[in-house]
Amino acid sequence: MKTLKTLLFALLLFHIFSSFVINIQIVKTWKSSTYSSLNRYGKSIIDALEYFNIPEIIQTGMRNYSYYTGIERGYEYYSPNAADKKTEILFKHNDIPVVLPGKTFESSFKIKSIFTILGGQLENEGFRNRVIQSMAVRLFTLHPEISQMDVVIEKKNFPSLAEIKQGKPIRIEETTVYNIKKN
Amino acid sequence: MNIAAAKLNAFFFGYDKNIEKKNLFITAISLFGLLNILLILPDLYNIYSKSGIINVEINDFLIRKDQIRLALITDIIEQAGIRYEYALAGIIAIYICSFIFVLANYYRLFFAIVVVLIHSALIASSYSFSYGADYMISFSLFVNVLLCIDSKYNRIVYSFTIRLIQLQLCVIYFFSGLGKAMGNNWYTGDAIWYLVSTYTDVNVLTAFIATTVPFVFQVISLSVVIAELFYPFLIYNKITKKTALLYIIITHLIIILMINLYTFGIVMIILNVIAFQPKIITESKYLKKHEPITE
Repeated sequence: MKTLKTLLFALLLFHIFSSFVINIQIVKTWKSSTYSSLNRYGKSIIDALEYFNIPEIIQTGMRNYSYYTGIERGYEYYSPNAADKKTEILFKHNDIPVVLPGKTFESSFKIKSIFTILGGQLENEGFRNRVIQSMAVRLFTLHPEISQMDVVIEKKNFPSLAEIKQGKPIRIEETTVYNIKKN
Repeated sequence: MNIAAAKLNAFFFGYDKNIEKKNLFITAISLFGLLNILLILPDLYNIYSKSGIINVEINDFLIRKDQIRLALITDIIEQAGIRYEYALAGIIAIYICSFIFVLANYYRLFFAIVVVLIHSALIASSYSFSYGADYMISFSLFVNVLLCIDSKYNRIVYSFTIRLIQLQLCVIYFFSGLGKAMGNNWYTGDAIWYLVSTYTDVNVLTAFIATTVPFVFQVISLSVVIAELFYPFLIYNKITKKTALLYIIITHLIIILMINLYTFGIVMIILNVIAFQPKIITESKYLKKHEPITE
């Protein structure tokens, strides 16, 4: 009984410690990505975390454990700031939208989440092109009657609440970047 | 020293409140996991297939090499001469059947472990589509394995599991609140407005709030930051526990209604209910009437 309790207690400590470390590591990455958008307390926390380092071998163990326990991605949802813009890749055939699939609300939500999850990575043109190509191949498979599509990047910019007061509207920009042919 | 050790022992291994409802908790987690995959099923090949919307090359570029992916399993099945589409469908069929076996209490622990492994592979194979809810489901399935352990040490394992969920929820909300508190637009209320605009089409109600009474967004957004950041203190304090739990559940209901994050909202409510077991739910007449049969 004592051995079981000791093992469980050790597991619990490892679990909570892993979760802490993973979240701290994620917050630390803000130093190079979103440092300027932090408030002064946020900046102080990030600066202080610079001294927080864990040996790579322990981190690897934690990552493997966290992968099977659902704690690997951290919990900094919509942090430090919720995004004021949304970028989507749209496909059009003769100006008619060819929508990404999604037969139920859950699968539709998951598929639309690509743009939130990949977010910043889509700003990289090379990576974005790979994503566009992959999406286009799937859409051509699902719609065999279509032989070519225009690829449109839609960028929505939301005004802040203070800007809305001054009458600033939501700005939507659409840019046709490619025309893709089936073959 | 001995008193401290005794207190720790009682805290981690002496919690047996609602242990008789363990089956109910297993049923809630398993049913939700099952429902989740059934809702994704119509788009199985669009999301998980090698040639899905995001192909396997991009997905593998985004994840770590040592993660178990569906492609690793389907490659082995394909070597036996079975077509890729059938191999993928077969894995999903095993996943669904495993949930049913857990629910039917048939080699429950074994199938709960199968569920965790396949779910981990599903997430790794659909990195670009996996959002917060998927990781919360993953955690709930891990917890389900612990709940499915039936031995003479039942009480100890049950107590440990409930405390693990409680502490994990504290970590989840604390870091979620800390991240928001480090930025700027959660203080001004803009964050809630941006989220509503991102996830839904702006409607009459949200447009009215944004233009006429924007402080409503500010109040919601500040209360979210405060509740999340101080969740560990509020939930373990006898005076504030009930209010904090009620607030968190209501917040998740608002998330479901306002930004349509159904799966995330429901899985978080399930985890909070299992962890802190509010009487209003665990002792409701409906649950007593429909309580699963214990073995």
